[in-house]
Amino acid sequence: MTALIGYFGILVGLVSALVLAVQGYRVARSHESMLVATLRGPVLGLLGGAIVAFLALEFALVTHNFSIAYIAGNNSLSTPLVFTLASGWAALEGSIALWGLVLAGFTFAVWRQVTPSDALGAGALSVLGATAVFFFGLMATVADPFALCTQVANGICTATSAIPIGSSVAPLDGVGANPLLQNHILMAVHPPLLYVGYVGLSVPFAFAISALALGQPGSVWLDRTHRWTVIAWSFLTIGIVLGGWWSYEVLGWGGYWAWDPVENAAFLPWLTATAFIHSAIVQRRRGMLQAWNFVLIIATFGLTILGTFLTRSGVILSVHSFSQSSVGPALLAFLFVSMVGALGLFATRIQLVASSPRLDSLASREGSFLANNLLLTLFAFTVLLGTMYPLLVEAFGGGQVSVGRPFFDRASIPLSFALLLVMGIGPITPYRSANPTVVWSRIATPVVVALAIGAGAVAIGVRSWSVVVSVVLGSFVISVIIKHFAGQSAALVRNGDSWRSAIAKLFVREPGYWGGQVAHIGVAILAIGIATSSALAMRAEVTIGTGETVTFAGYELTYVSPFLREEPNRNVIGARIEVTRGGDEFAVMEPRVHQYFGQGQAIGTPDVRSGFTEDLYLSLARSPGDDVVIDAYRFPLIWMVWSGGLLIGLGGGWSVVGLKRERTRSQTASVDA
Amino acid sequence: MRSRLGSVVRWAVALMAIAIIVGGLAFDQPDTRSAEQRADDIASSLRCPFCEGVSIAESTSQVARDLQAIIRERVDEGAGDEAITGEFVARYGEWVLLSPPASGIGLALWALPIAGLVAGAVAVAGLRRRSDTTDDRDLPSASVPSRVEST
Repeated sequence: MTALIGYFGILVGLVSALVLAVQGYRVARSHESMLVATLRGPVLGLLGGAIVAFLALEFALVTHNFSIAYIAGNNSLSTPLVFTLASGWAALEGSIALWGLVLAGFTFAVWRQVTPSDALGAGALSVLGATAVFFFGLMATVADPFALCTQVANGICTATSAIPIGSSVAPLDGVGANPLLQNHILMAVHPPLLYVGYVGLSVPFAFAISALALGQPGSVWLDRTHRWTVIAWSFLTIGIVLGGWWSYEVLGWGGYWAWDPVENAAFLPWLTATAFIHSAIVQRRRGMLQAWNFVLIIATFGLTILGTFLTRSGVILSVHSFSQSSVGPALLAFLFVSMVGALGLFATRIQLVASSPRLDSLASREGSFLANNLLLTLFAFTVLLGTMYPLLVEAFGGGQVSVGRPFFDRASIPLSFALLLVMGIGPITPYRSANPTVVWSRIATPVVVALAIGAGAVAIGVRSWSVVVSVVLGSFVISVIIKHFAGQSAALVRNGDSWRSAIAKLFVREPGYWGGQVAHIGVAILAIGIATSSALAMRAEVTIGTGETVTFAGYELTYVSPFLREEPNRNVIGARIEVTRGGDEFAVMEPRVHQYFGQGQAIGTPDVRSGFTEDLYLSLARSPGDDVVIDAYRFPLIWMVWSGGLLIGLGGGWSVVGLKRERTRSQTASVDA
Repeated sequence: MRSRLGSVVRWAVALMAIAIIVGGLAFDQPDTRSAEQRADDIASSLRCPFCEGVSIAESTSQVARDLQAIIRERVDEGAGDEAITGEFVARYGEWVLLSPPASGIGLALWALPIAGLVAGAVAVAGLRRRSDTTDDRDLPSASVPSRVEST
């Protein structure tokens, strides 16, 4: 019954999406204002269908309805409630359903802003509808989350029916969620955040396509989607950061970013979306880069689909390819059709895209934005090339080649340094043509401060040039921003404001600018954190006998005993390690292995003690007995990676929330006038 | 007078800082890595030939641990980084290098991004040049609406 209701929701969503795609197009072309009202039905149908489908899936999970193949394959009676709920997006079919729900939510939110006689908005709804047709179509066919289990062998569902009608059998218990996914709470929040980011980026894409189709390629589509883009981008940022954190806390290999194809798949649209956010500012301020903005947003949309394809098709082996199925060809086809369609449309409208390349001087804010875009696009191109290279070489019969972390590290370090430099100078450079003395007066003190901090790092013994350069550039960025901020607040204080109100005023008056600068500070902190935590990391494989003590990086590790703990959903096998530091008590740590019931693979789970200067990270190399073998790591300043990353997302968030407040206020002001 | 003193102090601090950084990084650089770290660095540059797309250092499989032990042994025997890497290439093929050399099959991987950089720089420069040739003088620069100095 639940399956039937859920499948019905999918069908309602599919039909509504079809109607929305067709009707939205007709409304956009007809210029009859009354027709906008006809979009209400399909939009609400799409949202309603998506909600019903997703709630039905969650209900089936909570009630352990194992007659549904997805539930039998991703849940078990012993799965804790939070992971039962999170199982809704733990595997392919469920994550497509979540994708559909988020897309329907965004479509609804866009619809609420569409006014009568709003052809651009109606066209955008049509594009969103067409996208929804694809995803709901997937759910109705190859990725049906409600497929019934028709045959059970050894407690595992071995055959399913395509549509949830007819008889079904249910195994006594499900196999449970992927152990990697149910091992940490972050896995419950990371995918939804990522999806809000991914799917949110289809809003500016939809408006761009609508603007091209209607032959209105001005800046209206950018003005209307600016907030959507930044919101989606902020979620994507936080989603990626939490993904890295999850990897660090769960996977036990001692890192958070491996340049794995699936990580790259999330990073690629982030790079192009970041470029887009910056180039959109140039177009809205100065009318430049109009054609380029279309290219960027189309590429960003394409990369989100490519990312989903890489994650879900199993084309590239990866630790994150949790599921492989027949959606691969469908996603590839959708990618192909949407890119050919979008770029073809762009090509036919290119003569309408007014290009006004009025760049007065490269030494200007515009110039720095161009440098930013060049670097970010190049970064994206390089990561894409590295990710696809083995596949491309093989496809052209060139044999096997591997591209991994060393390549990406080598390529991204110079690009990141260049980006940091531009990020330090760009935001304080005036538009049009910058007077060098003005720029120099704004950066002179920060340059000295940054060099002094860099010298300090060398003085305390840092000998890694990548760390020193990161520290110098990162503190340069931060001190330029602080100096600029202090100067602006001081000006307000001279006009009679208190310091506190001056600071508040700056953030409220110019949320776009100062929100952006907060994000920049986040990037600088992140850069320093990445460099120090990797270049100054220490790792050792230590073997300790019972009762013995081994020193590692200034810590004394004493192996107390092995232990076995039975929990409702898993057995925990671990080693109790007493840690002291210089003789002082530090912690009792328990690196362990989790054996989830119904799952063959045991999952190593590290124990991490985070501190202000460094993290101590212990991971079991093999099951403990009379002695224990541990991979011990020390990561200096790794908290800067997480906090810097989160600050980027928060800065983006403020630039939007604050903008809304500002807009409301200026509207009130204009009414007063 | 005071500002001149300030700028002298600033320059002095800057020059001293540069001296410390350059001195520290350029002249105190013997390979200070421990044998363990060196073995680790080598292991992370090589793809584990029998695992799913991860380096020897990152894989937690037994095969990878055995290969790590082999690398460590060779490091302890005094073999250089490149010699050890070379032995792996000789045994398993160039395929194990996670950063392919910029020649042969890996050439395009390095050449294309550089070509992209050049093309992008030319495009940006072209934007500048085109604006020289448009009759900018007819348009007073104030014709472009300029909002508050922000965003």
